[in-house]
Amino acid sequence: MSSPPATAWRQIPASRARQAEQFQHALNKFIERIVRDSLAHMIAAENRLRLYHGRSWGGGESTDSSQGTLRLTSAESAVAFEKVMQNDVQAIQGFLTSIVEQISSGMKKNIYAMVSAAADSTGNAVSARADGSLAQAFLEMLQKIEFRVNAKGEITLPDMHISPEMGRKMLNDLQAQGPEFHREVERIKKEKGLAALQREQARLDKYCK
Amino acid sequence: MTVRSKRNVAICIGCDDYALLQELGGAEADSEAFYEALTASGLYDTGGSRLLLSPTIQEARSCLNEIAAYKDLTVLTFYFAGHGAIKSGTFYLCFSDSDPDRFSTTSLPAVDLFTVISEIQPRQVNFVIDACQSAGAMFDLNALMKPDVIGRAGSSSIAFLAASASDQYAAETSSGGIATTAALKYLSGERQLQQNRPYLDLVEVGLAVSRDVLKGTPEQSPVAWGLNLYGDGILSTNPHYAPSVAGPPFSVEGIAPASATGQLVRQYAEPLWEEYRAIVKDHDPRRLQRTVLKMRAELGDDFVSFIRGYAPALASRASTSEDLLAASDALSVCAIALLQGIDEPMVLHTCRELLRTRSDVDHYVVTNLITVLESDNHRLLGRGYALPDLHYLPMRVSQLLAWISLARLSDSVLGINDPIAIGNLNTLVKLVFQHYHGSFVAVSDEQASWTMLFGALSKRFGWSEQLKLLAERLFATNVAVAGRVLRPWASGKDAFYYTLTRARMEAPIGYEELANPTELLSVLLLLAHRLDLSDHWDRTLSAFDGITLNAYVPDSYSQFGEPIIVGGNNFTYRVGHDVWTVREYVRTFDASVRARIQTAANSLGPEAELLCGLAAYIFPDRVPYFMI
Repeated sequence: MSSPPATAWRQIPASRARQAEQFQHALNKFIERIVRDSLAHMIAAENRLRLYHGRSWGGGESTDSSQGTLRLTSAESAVAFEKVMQNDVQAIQGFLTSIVEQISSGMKKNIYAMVSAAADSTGNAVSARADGSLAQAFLEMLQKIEFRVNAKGEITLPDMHISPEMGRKMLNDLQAQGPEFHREVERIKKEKGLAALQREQARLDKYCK
Repeated sequence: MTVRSKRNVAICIGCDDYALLQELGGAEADSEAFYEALTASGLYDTGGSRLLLSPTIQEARSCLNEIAAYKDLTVLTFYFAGHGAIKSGTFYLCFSDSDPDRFSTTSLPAVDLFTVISEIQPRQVNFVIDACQSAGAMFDLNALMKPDVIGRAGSSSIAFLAASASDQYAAETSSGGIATTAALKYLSGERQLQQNRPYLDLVEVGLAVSRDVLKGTPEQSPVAWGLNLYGDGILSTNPHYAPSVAGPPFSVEGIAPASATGQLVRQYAEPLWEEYRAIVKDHDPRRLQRTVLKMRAELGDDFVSFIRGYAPALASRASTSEDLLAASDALSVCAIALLQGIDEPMVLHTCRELLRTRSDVDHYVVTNLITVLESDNHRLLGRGYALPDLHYLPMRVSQLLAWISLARLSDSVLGINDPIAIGNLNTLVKLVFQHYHGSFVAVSDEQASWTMLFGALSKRFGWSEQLKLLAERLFATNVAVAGRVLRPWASGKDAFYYTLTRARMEAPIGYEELANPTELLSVLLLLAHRLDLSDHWDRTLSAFDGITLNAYVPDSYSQFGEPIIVGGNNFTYRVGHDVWTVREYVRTFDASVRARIQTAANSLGPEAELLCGLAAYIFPDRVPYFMI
């Protein structure tokens, strides 16, 4: 029979190229799902948009919709030939853990960087150092943010993303505050909640009746 | 076989004299020698054949017009030596007055040749192009192979030999073009190709020429391919044909295109070409089997004539597949289709011919594998992706060992006693065990038939020690998954999820995806008894508690190559309910299954046994228990 060409292309007995493709495709989908699940708590499902074309999004300057450009998150993990030849099946677990971790943390970094940049640009940033304490910074944060109303008409409070250590410190600091502080917190929440309901009503009123 | 020629015609053109291109020195002599070699035996009609020396484009076109008027051609062979050129993606044959600034009007586009073929539709068309950039014609043929382009030309058998790749120039010596010189050695009988068929096929000549030219002129890589639809390919008489070697004194007639069978073949030309196109990119024995069995159902007794032409041509095409075993497998699938009728002498004879061709292919593959594995022990790993090989490498290794066993069995059945080939097969087994014992892992029930083949034949061929290691590894890894291996023909997606479960990760794998019952455990227990491992294995047999074993036995092994075998019985036993030890299983097997196997395998000849082994290897949802 004719000789195989002397290129990078090479012949393999029982190559099963099609099934290997299917395997790899399933693996990619699996990674996608795990990454998506790991980020689910950060972004509400309705705010996760799947874009098929282009590199940027946004409704233009005349609208309030968010704007941005796609950022690439890449990950790399090596599996030694020897591990495959020895059928070290734990290699797949190690590979998946490493890739998922890299992609998830890369995407989280991107999300925090984008939120931080947006907050900085609007002056919506607070500093515990400048405020004197975490509790005061918390109060200032409450004053600066806006509450939202969900599809059922219920007021929703924003999520806080902080490290466990910072979380413990903040809780301790908040618990150490007197009743006046907590009354102030409740007052702001009530005020923000009412404002959110009014905004929501105003938004809905824009529809033709 | 007799070519009952209404007319076999050769058109040989050699062009040395060029007004506007560089003159050549050996093209005319080449074409004369080729013409002489073709017509000397009387195979070609000298009245209708033509030899044109340095013709003008007008003379060449006139000749084609004359041929186009023939309505009863059986074989048309077109030979060209001279300048060829590619311009704007079209390959042109250049004649004495061809103008490089006006190729389209002063040269002959290769595509025009196919227009002529479409009109006259001979049984067989051979193209030999020994020209600069001649593989450009190959490019054109690839384009023509598309169904919407090839048109009615695709209903002829077509074979092609081009002397150089599109960016190369056909080497010329003082005695003529290197490729032509090499081809003439086979046509004249100076070199022997085979003795068992009365005619030489351009595909087999072309592949031999490719090998010869590559050895002497590595920078030149001839291209040879072809597809025979009407039986054996015909280029010239075979000077070495020896009827006594060929087998019993009967003739295998080719199929006349005008006959009712020929019309049927024409009707199926497109799927046959489609398989020819697909086999390189997507080697799928089950798809090929569907195509072949459709032809068997349509052609009846004439299937034998068809398959002996179709199979070798398909295999030569498959040899360029990424799958190193594709050519061997294609021949196996075609031979397996003959199993039902193997009691007929003509079928048996054709079957042995296909197996002989397969044996040649296998020897080449073995040499190739030894070379690559000795230089790089990773060469059995898949290309592109690493992780799928956690599942597919164990399957590949099991399959390869079965294939090696069958290559050895095949040589034995065919009476080939070549110490070098035997040594090579032993070396390959050693290399696989040396580098890939870590992949002796139970992952799929397809490994049941492959393990049975290696297991049943290992003692005969001196691989008993290796079998023990293989069986122990497979058993240990089967214990690790509690006997739950993936079912045959599982998708890559299932293989991925199954690999996750082996890695103790959550994955949607249930009984639907698993082999239930499993034949792998059945095979392993039978081998354990042979290898005196019963007592040792009994201690861990509880790991398989509740697993159902199966041993399928057909009513007759003559049905063993069919996609679904009708009849027969599945002997199922449940571990922990019917059997608790290896010996119990073997005793039960011997008492209940063995007699049925003997009845089913009664009167199986050595060729039929080999075909059953090949069927189990190619379609591993059946286990040839009669072998053990």
